[in-house]
Amino acid sequence: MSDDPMRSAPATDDLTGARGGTDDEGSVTTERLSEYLDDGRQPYDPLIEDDPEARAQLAALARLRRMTAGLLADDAAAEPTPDPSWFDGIMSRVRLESRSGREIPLLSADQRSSLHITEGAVRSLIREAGDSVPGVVVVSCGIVGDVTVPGSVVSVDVQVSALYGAPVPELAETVKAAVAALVAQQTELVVEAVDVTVRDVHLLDDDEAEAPR
Amino acid sequence: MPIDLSGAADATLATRAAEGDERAFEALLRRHLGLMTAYATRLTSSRADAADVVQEASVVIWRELPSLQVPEAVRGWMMKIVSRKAFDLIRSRRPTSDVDDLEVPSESGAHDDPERVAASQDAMGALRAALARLPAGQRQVWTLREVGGESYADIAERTGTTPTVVRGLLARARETLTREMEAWR
Amino acid sequence: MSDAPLDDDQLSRLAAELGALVAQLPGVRHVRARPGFGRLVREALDGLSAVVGGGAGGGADAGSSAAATASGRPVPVVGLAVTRDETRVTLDLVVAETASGPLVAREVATRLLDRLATEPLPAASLDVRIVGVEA
Repeated sequence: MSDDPMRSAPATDDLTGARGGTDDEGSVTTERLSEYLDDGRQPYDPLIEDDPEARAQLAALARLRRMTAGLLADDAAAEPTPDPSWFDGIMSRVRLESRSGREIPLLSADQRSSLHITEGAVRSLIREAGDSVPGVVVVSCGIVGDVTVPGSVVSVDVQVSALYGAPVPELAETVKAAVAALVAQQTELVVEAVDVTVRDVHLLDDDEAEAPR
Repeated sequence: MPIDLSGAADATLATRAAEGDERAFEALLRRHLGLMTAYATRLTSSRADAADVVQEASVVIWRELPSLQVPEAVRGWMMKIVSRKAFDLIRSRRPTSDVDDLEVPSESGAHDDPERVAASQDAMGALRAALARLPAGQRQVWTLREVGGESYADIAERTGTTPTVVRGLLARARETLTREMEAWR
Repeated sequence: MSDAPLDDDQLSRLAAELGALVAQLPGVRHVRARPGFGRLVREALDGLSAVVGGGAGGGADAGSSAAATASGRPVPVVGLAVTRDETRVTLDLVVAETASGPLVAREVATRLLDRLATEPLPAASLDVRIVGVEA
C-alpha cells in the first residue's frame, strides 16, 4: 500500500480536523477510518481495532477501495488505443518544446557560417550508444564542462540500468567504449572521461520490467 | 535499430523523457494512456472532453517532467496533471463555481451505459451503478481522493471549494457507496 | 519590402529549393525549421529587407506565408533573411547515426554557399544546427 505512488498524498492537511476522529456520538468517523486505512493501519489504534463495528466498517472501506481500483483498471483496459495520428499530433507539439540545451560549436570552413550540434542531440547519441550494448538501458546522461567553447575538455556521465545477473564491470567498459566512439564520430568534443554508473537493475521484459527491491 | 522501451520501468522512462528522449515519452504515454483516459472520463463524465483533457495533459507532462523529483512516482504525478486539466475544462464550461451545483444528481458517467449498469450481476456492476447514482460533485471528489490519491487541499483547489466542503462530500459519498455495496453483498 | 533583388515569392521558392537540396544530401535525415526563426533574425540583424521561410508559424514573415499560400505551397522550412550586406540562411538538421555529424554539417554548408553564390543576393552566411541523430 505504501509503495503505491498514488497513495503518497497525506491524509490530513487540514488542521481543523478533530484529532480523535470520532463524531458527536463517540463512534469512529468514516473519515478517520479512511485515513487509518491510508496509513496502512499504523500506528495501531485500539479505538478502532478493538471496536467490532469500526473494524467491520474498515473492512467495508477496504473492499470498496479494492473494487474501485479494479473498476478503473477495467475501464483502462477497455480503452481503445488511439490511432497513430493521435500520437503524431502530441509528438509534433512536444517537438516544439524540445529540450535542445546548449549549442555545441562545430568547425566551419567558412568564417561567415556557424555550425552547431545541440546538447540534446549529443545526449540522444549517448543514449543510443549505451542502449546498443546488450542488457543495458540508459537512464540518465549528461555532458560536464563548457561545451560552448571549441576544444575545451569535457567529461560524459552515463547512468544505466543493467540486466539482472549481467557482469557489471564488463558492461560498464563496453558502454564506455561505445559512448566514446559515438561522441567522437558525431561531435568535435574533447572527452577526457566517460563515467558509467550502473544505478538500476532490471529483469527480462515480460509485460513490464520492474527492478527487484 | 533503437531498443524497445515498452518494457522499461516507469522511472527509467520518466528520467529519459525529462532529459529530452521523445521515444521514452511516447512509451510512457502509451503505457498509462488507458488509465489517464478512464480517469478523465470519470471526472468529466464525457468521452469527448476526456480526449481533449488527456491531449492537453500530455503536452503539460512533457513540459513539466524535468520538475518531477521522484521518477518512480511518475504515474501518480501524471494523474494529477490529468485531474488539473480536467477541472480547467470543467471550470471553463461553468464560470460560476456554485457549491450547490456539486450536489445535483448527474447523468450516468460515460462508462456506465445502461446495459452495463443494468447487468449488475457482479460487484463491479453494482459499484458502477452506485457511482452513477452519486451526484456529480460527490463522484468527482471521491474519484480524486480514492483514485487520484490527492490531498484535501488539492481537491478543494480543483473543485473551487474548501477542504471542509471536500470532507463533507467525501463522507457522504463513502457512506452511500459502502452502504450500497454492503447491501448488495 | 521591395529593396531585395528578389521578391518575396522568388525568395520563398529559393528557400524551398535550398531545403530540398539539403534534404537529399547523404547523411541528412530531415531538414527542420528553426523554432523562433523570425524573432531570431529580427533581433540579430539590422536593416532587414526580406524574411521568408522558417516553417509555418515558426516566425515566418507575413510575406513568406502570403507568397506560399498564394501558390498553394507550404511555407519553406529553411529560413532566409536578407539585409543590405548579408543573406542569412537558417535551418536545423537531423542526421543519420551512421554518418559523421560535423562532416555532414560542413557538406551542407558548402553546398548551400555554392548554390547561393549564383543568386543576385548579398553574401550568404549560414546558421546550421544539428538537433537530432537518427538510426
